[in-house]
Amino acid sequence: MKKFLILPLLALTLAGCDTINTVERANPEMTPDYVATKKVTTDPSLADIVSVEDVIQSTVSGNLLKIQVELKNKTNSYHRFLYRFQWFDKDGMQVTTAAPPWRTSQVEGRETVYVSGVSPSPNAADFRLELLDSMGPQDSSGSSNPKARAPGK
Amino acid sequence: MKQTLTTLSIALAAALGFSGCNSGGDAKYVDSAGPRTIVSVDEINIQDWSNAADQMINSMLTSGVLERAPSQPAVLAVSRIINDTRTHVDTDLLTKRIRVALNRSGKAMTTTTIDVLASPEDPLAAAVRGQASPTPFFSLSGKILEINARAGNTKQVTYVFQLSLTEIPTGLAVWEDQVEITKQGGRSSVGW
Repeated sequence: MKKFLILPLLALTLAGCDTINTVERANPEMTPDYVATKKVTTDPSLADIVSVEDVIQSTVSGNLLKIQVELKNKTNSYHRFLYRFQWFDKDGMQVTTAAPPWRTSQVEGRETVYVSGVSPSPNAADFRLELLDSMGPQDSSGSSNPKARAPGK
Repeated sequence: MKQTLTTLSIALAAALGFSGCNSGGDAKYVDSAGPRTIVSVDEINIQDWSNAADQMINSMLTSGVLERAPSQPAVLAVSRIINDTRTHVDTDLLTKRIRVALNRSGKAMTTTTIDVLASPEDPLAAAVRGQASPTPFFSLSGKILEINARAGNTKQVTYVFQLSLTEIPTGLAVWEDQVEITKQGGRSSVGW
């Protein structure tokens, strides 16, 4: 009788863990250029799920700054979030006047994903990555979603 | 007591009145590249164009192929972008974003005096310039496709954006990329 109870429980437990297994070189040959970062969290619930692990930079197309951010899902469940890069020149001015688009990304449980952005102009000297918890589906006729918060700055 | 009740009633009525101003059916402005835009399964939404273009631009700039042009910035011409989806779309929604980004980056400029359909974007400039129009070094072409699937009440659509950058002197595609955007749902919703 006990066996009949344990099996469904085990099945339920396993079903809840869609986590990612990985394998990689034990002694990596890459030498990334890490960027020291400062984090400001206004949405601790998102920060508890999707954490910023590393930020690295390189130069592409001669003089454009490229930033790659490693994000890790700290939970065992699937999560969806939005992100966007803002770019600033050496005087701290935003490089483009139009707001850059939010892009959607998703992570399975314990998965690590990499998001990257290329600066829109050679004038860009700095960046800021903004992360936003993804909203759940809502009727198009509905009012603004209460889950939509200003991104962390 | 009566006065307190009257005051409370007025306050409640005022609160309800004000909240009514924000009822769902009212028109409002939203950021066209933001998370409050409408998501629909049966069409390419404004944020899909932004997203596809953004990924294409990042890919093209990272590849470094624009540096191959003998003169900088590279001169680019937009060739045919085939719409193979079920809906009528203006492919300029994709190409214009890419052109603007390349122009801002200083890596490429687009000629507006040459067109595959013999109707250049800027006919006046084309008429004045004539044969003296700059010869483009790159040509941008592509295709937009749609793949549908359904399971029960859930509909899924994938929009595939394919672009190729051809080096005109050699005729070789020196950069190519494909961006896929997949959406699932039963009806339109707000948010990404």
